Amino acid sequence: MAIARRLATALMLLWLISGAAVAKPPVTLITFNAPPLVEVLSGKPQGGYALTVVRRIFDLADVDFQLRVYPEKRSILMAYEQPRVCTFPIDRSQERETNLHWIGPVSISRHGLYSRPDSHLSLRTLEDAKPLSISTHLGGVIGESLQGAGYRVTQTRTPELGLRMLMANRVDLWASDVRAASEVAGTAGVLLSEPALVFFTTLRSMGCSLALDPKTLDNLEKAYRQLRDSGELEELLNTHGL
Amino acid sequence: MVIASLSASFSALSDPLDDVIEHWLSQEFTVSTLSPAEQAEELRWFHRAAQPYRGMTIRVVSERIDTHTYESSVLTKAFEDVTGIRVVHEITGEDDLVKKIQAQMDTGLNIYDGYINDTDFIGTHYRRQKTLVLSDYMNGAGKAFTLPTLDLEDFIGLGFGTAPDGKLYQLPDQQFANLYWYRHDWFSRPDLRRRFFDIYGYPLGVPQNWSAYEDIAEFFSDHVQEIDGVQVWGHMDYGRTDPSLGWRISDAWLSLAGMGDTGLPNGLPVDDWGIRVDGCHPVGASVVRGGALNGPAAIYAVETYIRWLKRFAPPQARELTFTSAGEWAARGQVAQQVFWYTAFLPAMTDPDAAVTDDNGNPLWRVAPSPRGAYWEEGMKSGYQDAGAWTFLTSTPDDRLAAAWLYAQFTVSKTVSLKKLLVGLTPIRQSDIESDTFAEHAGKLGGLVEFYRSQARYVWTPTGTNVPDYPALSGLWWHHISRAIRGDDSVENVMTAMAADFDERLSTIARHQGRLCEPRLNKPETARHWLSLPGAPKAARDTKPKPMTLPHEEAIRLWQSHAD
Repeated sequence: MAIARRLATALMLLWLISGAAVAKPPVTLITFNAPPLVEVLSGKPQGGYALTVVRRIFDLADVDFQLRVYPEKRSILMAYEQPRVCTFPIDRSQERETNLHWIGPVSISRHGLYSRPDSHLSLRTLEDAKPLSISTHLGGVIGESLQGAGYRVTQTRTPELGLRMLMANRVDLWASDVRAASEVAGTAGVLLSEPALVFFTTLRSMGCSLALDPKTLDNLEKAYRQLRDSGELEELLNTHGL
Repeated sequence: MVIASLSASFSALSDPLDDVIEHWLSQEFTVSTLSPAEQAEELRWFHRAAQPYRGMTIRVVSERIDTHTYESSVLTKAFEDVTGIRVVHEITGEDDLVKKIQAQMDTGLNIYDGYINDTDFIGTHYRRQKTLVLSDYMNGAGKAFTLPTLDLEDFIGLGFGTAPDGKLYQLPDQQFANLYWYRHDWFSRPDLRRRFFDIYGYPLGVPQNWSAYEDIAEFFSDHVQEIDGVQVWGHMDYGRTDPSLGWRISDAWLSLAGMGDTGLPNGLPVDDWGIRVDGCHPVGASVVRGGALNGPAAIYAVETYIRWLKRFAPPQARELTFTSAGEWAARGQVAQQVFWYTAFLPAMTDPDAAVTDDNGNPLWRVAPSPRGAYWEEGMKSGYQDAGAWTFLTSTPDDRLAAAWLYAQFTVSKTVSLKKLLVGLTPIRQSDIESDTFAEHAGKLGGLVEFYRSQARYVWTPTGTNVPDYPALSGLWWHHISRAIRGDDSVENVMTAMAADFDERLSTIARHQGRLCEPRLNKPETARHWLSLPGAPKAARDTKPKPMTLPHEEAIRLWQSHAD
């Protein structure tokens, strides 16, 4: 009996040791306040449909994660530089394509140019905004691509600061995700008009470190495909409109 | 703008519409192969056909080249003034566009109402059956919205958007070719010509093979080094780890090396991506399965690409992309480019550019690209990009009809000649044959001659052997960048890439409901396949005797395609 007990203990120890050797640390999953995609309250992600999508991906993939909140730009840099980090919901673009593994889209975002409510500014095409000054938040591809195309852009730390610049008459236009714009304006107590122009679309996705191990990545990709092919993703995204 | 306020209030054939038409014909569409009366009639047709959709806003997307910028900033306004339909025409990177159309195909979400998508996708559209068959639509549900004067036969690239089932899936909106580009003024200088002959023993001219191209690259980079006090290089390319790095290899390097089989448009049974087909079924990319992606010709192509990039191109080239390299060459420090995209002609024809003379005439010329050692008569002679209007079946009917109207507007004879003069990306035979285009020949360095010859059918896009472009295209830059960095030998990199291609073909084969799905060959020995005729081809001498031609004779080779 004693021998059997000792053998069981040894086997248990061996299982624990070997388990510990192959167990992977949880993925650090970084997000930021981007309502209604992700809503952060008191420094913690509380809801949002992109958060729901990403949680479902990790659940289906059976991959552990720890959720963290950082500013968007910083979260992207952490995913570039650290080995086991994923961040969402970030804009996927050709310029960023080779720096991360991409899983998504977890949202389709339209981006608009907003003028002050008392402004009579009329825009028919993006080109019409060339002579005007624009604020937008740091970390999205909108600021980078407008700047690259020769537009006068000021990038702010948060979307709220961009809106404040507009209301303080420091810029002519504020560029924002149209779904986020009304929420940001509501929080800031600003009555925002319809955008002067909805000028660009981005696929917002989850970007993971290039050094993320292939097995974890494969599981996450398979989980995303499962969510997509079952129609669950389309249903979630359609609920929030395009 | 006055016209904008008019657009909301006009009614059919009312005076405001006449004012709108008069404005656009007199201020913008001043050149056309149609008479002004015929142009006005076309615009009236658009006005009438668009009536059910007046007040709607639609959304389309295309890649970032001058032609599409013109459409986005000018043609959308003209269309809105005439029809009352507002168009947001987004411009983005080509790879971003690929990801977006792929996302709409995969999720069914209506992200855009229309795409200007390269016909490189034709094998994907045909197989996945998520794309509107335009020829069916024009004769069916879309008949009332199809321009009676569209004149499909006038489109030179219709074949590129037509699938093996004979149906049209994609209607060309712009086309540009990948041609040899060189500084004609430098090549004509007696001192440089004499010096070249003294060193190499044959005349400086348009290179007909890679041996001659390499000599010329060496001549300018190592011997000449400086012209008029400015450092010069004998070669230009780009090598940044970026999705566009992949196109560089898949568009041009492998096909011009001669990797694939003979047969137009892409080589059969092995195409310019190195993929073998059996009937319409892809059966493998690796040599052991009968493909050519890691065969001697492919390895020779990529080794040459990297050697020339590192040895003869300006150091900045390694950090440039499709877009930034296209603009860089207009600075006037490059003697030649083996494959140059004519989409960048507007930058090269800018009177302020360093590559035009005081009268705005080009100091450069284009000509057929030199061929690699495995190239044989009967193979494609270069790559041509055909960005084409493409609609997905997930688009709601009303939005589809409105987007189809806008698409036709951008290629209608009323606007196409003006668009050609702005972007230099021809799509219509009538525009190419027009006196107006001919008048610009002197400023375009050979473009008019190219598009007036039958050679335009021998410069072809990616073909139907590629069963799922977005699923495969990411492999190119991923692997080639490893070879550029020297992470592994070119041979090992190409073998790894070919294995990845086979694996993805195998994954694609498991997707349900696709036509002509991949059916991988069982692996044989490489020797087995290399001993058979055609691609994959066994190793051969890669240093044939260098050969050059004067520009006039090189251009004549284009005309010879008419025979």
